[in-house]
Amino acid sequence: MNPLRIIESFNLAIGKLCSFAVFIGMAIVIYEVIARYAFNAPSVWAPGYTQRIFAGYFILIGAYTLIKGGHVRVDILLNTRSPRWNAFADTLNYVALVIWTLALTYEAWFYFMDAWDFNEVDDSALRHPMWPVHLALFVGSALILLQGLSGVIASSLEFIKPKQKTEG
Amino acid sequence: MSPELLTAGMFGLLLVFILAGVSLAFALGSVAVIFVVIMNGLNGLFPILSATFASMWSISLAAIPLFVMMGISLGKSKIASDLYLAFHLWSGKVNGGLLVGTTGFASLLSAMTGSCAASTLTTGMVGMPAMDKHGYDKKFVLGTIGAAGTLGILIPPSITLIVIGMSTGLSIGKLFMGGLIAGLGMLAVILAYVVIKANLQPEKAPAATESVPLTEKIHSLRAVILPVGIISVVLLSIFLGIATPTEAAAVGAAAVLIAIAIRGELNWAFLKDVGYSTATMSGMVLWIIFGASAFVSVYSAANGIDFIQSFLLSLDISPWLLILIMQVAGFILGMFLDPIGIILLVMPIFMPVVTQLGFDPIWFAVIFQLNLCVGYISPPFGYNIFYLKTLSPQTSILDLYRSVFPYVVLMILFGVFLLAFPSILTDGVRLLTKS
Amino acid sequence: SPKKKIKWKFQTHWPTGNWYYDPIFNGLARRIQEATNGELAIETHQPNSIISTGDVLRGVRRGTLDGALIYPAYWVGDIPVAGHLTGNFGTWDSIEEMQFFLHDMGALKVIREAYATRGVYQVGPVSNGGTALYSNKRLETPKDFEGFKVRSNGTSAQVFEKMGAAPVSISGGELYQALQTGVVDGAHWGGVSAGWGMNLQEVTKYIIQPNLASHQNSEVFVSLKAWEKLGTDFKKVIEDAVLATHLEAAGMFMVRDLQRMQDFQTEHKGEIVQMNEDSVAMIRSKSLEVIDEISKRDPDYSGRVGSILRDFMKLTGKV
Ligand code: NA
Ligand code: NA
Repeated sequence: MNPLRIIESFNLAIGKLCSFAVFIGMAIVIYEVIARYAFNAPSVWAPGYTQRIFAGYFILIGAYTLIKGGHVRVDILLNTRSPRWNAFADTLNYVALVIWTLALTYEAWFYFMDAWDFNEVDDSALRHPMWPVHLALFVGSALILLQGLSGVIASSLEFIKPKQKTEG
Repeated sequence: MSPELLTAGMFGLLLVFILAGVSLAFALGSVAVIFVVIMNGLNGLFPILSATFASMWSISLAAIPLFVMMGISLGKSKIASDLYLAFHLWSGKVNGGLLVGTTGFASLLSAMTGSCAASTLTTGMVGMPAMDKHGYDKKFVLGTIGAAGTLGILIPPSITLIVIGMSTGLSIGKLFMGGLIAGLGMLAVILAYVVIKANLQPEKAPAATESVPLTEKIHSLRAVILPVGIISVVLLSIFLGIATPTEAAAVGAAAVLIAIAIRGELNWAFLKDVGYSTATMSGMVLWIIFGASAFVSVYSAANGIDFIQSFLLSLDISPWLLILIMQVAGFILGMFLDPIGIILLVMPIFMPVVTQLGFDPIWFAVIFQLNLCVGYISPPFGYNIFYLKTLSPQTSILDLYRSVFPYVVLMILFGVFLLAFPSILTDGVRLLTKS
Repeated sequence: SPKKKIKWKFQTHWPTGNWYYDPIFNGLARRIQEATNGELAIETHQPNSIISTGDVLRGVRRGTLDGALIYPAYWVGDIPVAGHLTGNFGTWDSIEEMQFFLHDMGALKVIREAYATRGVYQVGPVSNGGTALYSNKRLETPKDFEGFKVRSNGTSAQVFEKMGAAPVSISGGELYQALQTGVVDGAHWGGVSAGWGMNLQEVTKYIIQPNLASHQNSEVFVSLKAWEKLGTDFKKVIEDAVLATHLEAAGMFMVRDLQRMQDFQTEHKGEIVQMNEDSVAMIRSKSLEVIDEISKRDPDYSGRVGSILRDFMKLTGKV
């Protein structure tokens, strides 16, 4: 099987799975509102886990959004010229993504190791470990980096040998 | 690197990337990486990660996917189309009546959702067929929908107002109230324009001819109950001290899902659909935030922000002119950039200047927000223009720009009006939040 | 012989708009620059301008920054003993007490050891004044604290919880409205004047006295690498400059807190409510319980400072 396809299917699966986190996050916030207002019993864990769940959600849906074409682009120069030009623009788009997420992934690894080595916990009264969120940052960055690299390959192949000739 | 060179380099490369079709998020992030490496080498990369983590970890941003979810689930359920029918039936046999109803519908959607996508796309999808059937002028319809759709981020809840609050420390509740005042004012302006134009040129928005029996009209009102319930739940939860504005997003999202369940439309396929679409749209917004915060951290660490601030404050001009310059900057940036990106790029620069000049920050921020709404319909980069294009693929982009043009002018005039009479916003917000 | 000039980057968590940013943060930089004849220049940076506040400790260790004037409570998840530098409810009653606890009884020395494990040199505290409680509920007796919804975090929240209150976590941007609509009944945001900066006086009826802590501190730390490159003369200059800034800041905050309490009563028709002795005693004992729990979790550092604190409490006749 085409390795680029494998990466894409993998990222699609992860993205779909993570997209349900929004419902879990919603439920936790509602729980906290009710516990505080109706029972005068605000919790320490609910705000902490709202933060954790949405933090993970935000970073982990990046690659999925990319595959779904969700990261908006100004398209005044796109789709107007040759397929070769479009392939060039796509390549540039993915190269920019790779430059950014390579830096993120590289730094996120040390960030994660830091939290792991020092057993870092959050500064609230909850005091739960921080490494899972740091790990999510590493994984989320790495996944979109992988998707970006596969985009660079696909679009530069397209640039070298466009599938179709210029139309009109 | 001198601040002049830094400013020209970072913003110049950003513009080149954006115009070459690089996604806004990636352009912001990669320019940040390139410049930090030029200035500080590979050891300088940590601030980029730190900025990303700080955004991820910011609890106020949790409201974004929740408000996005409200809009998406409303759009996918039949609540929206039934609601539109009610507006349609009640808009009456007057010139432009359908368009007035459509605008009212868009503003009600805006009060339930936090972004412009839902208000614009849903209004277009459910409203355009009816207006087509009644012989309304396509450009008049598209322009009005595009403009009314921008109320999505002006009338609370609003994603952009949340990001303004997060990046400036201003109270999100006060920003919401300011947005409400400006949003209702803008709604009145749009309605007035529609009514006047429809009566001057009735052929563009002819009155309906068929009569609707009163019983059918009253029957249609049932569709209004759930949406009004949803809006009340959100607003009351804030006003009664049950929830913070961030938490109200979850309350609202749950209310929408419950409303959809009451109608018997909630099932696994629907939830999956909503979850996936929410992820795509939230991913776009959040990754722009990640890119913009990286960009800003690199620019400010190299003293770029200090440079612009002291430059602005050193200008020997009246404070009012300075305010005007900053608002115009917002308008110009709105032509090219995403509103979230703009907020994160310039609010840290502008806000200290505004407060140092002794102006009310909420007043400034709300008018700036109106500028961002204009950005949704100003060429070349405007989300609502793209949404209109998907609603009406056969209309050329140029015609779309023409169709929204009168509204761009109206929105600017309204912004100038709010600037000139600050007490509308300052006293209004005080009144609404002191109650 | 002309020495090589040193240039350091410092970042703070204090917002630029506040009155204390220039006299205290920039003031510290000026003090050091003058005392070293300009050979050690400190460039001051706004919150989040180089690195986000939560990562400042890491950023200093990694050399992104050379130092910071910041709030020790941010690191309690990483360096639990940092909480003793911020200060605990119901312990010190005056700046003299705080100083002899930190310096003469040796608490600061232990705290420095803990910071050194994270690659930074802890120079010392910078006073922020007391910790004041703004409230819409009249709090006099211990019973009044039952179910009191208070915006609080970290170890302070734990103390409130033990007192039967209900600590709530609310972000700074939403605090004003949360007090106004009644999501929470009260909040502490530094001293009276710091809370004033958040406009808490507009949405609360009472300021509760005495302060929960008579002094709570920010801190100055410097990258250990940068610190060790300095000669003893410069080290001494910096330590003295931080100490002088600390003492000066304490006075600046205190006078403003007192002025604001007057304004609160005259301009805002607010009321200063005095807690009774039972309440003060309860805060003290619950605060010590929380401190003991931290000592158990972190015996190497918090445990040692915790036992110094026990001695301190006996010496000053508080227990
Ligand atoms: Na809205
Ligand atoms: Na635009």
